[in-house]
Amino acid sequence: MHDVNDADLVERALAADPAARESLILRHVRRIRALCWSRLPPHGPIEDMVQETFLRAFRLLARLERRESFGSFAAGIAVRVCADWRKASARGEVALEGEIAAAAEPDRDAGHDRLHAAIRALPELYRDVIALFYFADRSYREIAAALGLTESAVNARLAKARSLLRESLAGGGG
Amino acid sequence: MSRSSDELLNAYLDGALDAAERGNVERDLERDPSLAAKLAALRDLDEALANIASPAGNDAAIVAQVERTLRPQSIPRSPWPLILATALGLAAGFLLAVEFERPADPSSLDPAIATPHWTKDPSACAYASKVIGRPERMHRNSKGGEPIAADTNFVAGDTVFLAADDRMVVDGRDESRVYLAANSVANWGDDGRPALREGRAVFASAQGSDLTFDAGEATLTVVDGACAAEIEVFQSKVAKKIPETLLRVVVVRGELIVGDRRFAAGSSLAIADGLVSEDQPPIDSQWFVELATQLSAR
Repeated sequence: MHDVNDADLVERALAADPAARESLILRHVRRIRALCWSRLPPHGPIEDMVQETFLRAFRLLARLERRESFGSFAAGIAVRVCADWRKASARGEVALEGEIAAAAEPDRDAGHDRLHAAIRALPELYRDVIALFYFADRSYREIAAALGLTESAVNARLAKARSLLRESLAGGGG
Repeated sequence: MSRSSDELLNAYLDGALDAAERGNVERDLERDPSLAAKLAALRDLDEALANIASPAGNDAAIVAQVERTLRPQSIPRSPWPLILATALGLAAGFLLAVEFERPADPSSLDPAIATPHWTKDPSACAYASKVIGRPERMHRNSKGGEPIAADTNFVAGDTVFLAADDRMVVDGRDESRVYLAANSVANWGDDGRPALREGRAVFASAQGSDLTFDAGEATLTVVDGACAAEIEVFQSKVAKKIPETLLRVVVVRGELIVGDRRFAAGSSLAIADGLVSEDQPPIDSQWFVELATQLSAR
């Protein structure tokens, strides 16, 4: 499957090829999960949002003009899906679900609690790059593609995010 | 070089510099102990971050669930038919509330189903509206498939079966003009207007009547014509939590206005997330047009 690019997979997915859909999901699911982790509150239904993201992506796939951009297309949908959930949550239409949350939230041993809290306290744009870098890609290029940024912007945001984290941890914040 | 030294140091740590840039940073590190200390601190943080467990997930389950949901022949989890068709008109005399199983092709559509008369055969039609969230009162209708007395009050959790000439009153207002019935539907949005939250439905409006329906952030308004829309609300587990709505609309007669866009008869379009796009073509469009034509011709 390494020889097949996203554009080819998108074409096949548009022709209702389940294998192509599976490949697209498996290629991008870690990135989408990281983004959902960043955009949802602690104990948010990450897996549900990941699933919803791919469902919407495939249903709206015909709108994707640049077939090779499935990753950023799906990331954009993930952002909207999570925003919708947060809005619904604010209106009291959804509730956090313990089982889902328990399965989806990263392990939080005592040594990591402060770091988790510090990451959660970051502004969204910095939390996104931290989540994508450490939970998915470790690649400026992939993160840039997902978020629609330049690699320089990813570099700058990552530098700022780490700087904020260091300040927060040094100050006992978070 | 436009990058700050901090950004360069981060890029160096992340292996994102080319050979020349890397060489420059390494020379600076040798010359400047404070820079080297900064890098060491960055490395410590990087290690700590790298040791945080990624969000747990089950990729195979995601794939399986997406496939189950997208596969067109998938069997609905509930015993109710997947495809519902519902429309109630008022004074114009267009009153209809039926649900359909999606026929395999247009020719398989049973004319008896498409006619606006009341039938209680749940294998042919199901007329389900689960009342969620607020009491409703209905006139001349039936509950659980059995005739019920007029002015019966319904409460949240009731399943209501609508007949073609049912009328529904909510909080003293006659709300039966546009009433969408679907299994497991939250029928009322925050603003008290009809809102389909889950399930699928088909509705149509008669010529001369207007029809508004909120689909996410989109509102359809039919002007001087007939419109039919298949409303699909994603059937995923998440759909219970997010009122995500995808409308597939065929304009049968007249003109359909969505926001500032106008669609002439014969147009088909899709609406999701408040966005409108030409749909090419909507699912089962032929069947859909035939059904809509039957309905709107009455």
